[in-house]
Amino acid sequence: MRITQAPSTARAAYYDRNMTYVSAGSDQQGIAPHAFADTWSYTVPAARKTTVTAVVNIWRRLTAAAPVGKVTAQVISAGGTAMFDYFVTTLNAIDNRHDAIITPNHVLIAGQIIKGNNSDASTGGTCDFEGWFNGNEYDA
Amino acid sequence: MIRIKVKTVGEGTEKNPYTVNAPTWRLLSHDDVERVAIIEIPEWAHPFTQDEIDAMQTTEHPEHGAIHSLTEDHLDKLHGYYGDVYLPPSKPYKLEQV
Repeated sequence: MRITQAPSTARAAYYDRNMTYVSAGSDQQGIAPHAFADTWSYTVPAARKTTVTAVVNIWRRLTAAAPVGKVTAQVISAGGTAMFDYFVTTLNAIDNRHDAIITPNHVLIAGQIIKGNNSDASTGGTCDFEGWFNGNEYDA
Repeated sequence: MIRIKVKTVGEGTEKNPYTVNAPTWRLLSHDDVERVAIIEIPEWAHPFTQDEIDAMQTTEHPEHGAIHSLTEDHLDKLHGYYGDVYLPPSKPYKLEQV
């Protein structure tokens, strides 16, 4: 008697499962003080996954505030499941800046969100905010 | 790529920021007095063909160009593209146009 097994078929690697490059973010210049606001958002579609390959979170003081208040800029996965970069400052000199360029290699599953938001509690003054992510989206 | 004018939700706090109930978008402008925002949805984040986009009604914005108007069918199709898989504390989105 012979027992035979059907030949096993390895699942295709993620980069061979209809992979697409995705990117989302925003580049805001000369922004006056404002309450906390989301500036961009990306949600993984149904039946897909996304590997976050790069995150950028940049802040620069453009003009001084009088007086300065807390400035916050972050890139997070909604719900706090992952915090990619979180920046808080009260620096108030022109060209004070924060530069974060991160390669997290973090996997998001369908329905998960990565987004950027910021706030500035100062009186007067302006800032530049730039936040982005790059990722590889593929069949789950 | 499509640009739409939508209502914002949230209170402008760190725990509840101003945001819009759309899955993937980029903020172009926001009026926290009127509680409306103009957002852009990149071409890879929506299921509409270029012919469908060309057929959408538009209004001209002085700063952001053509603002598209989505019908209920468009909104259903956009929602269908993202399905119903959401993880807590996220909740299903419901885009509200202005």
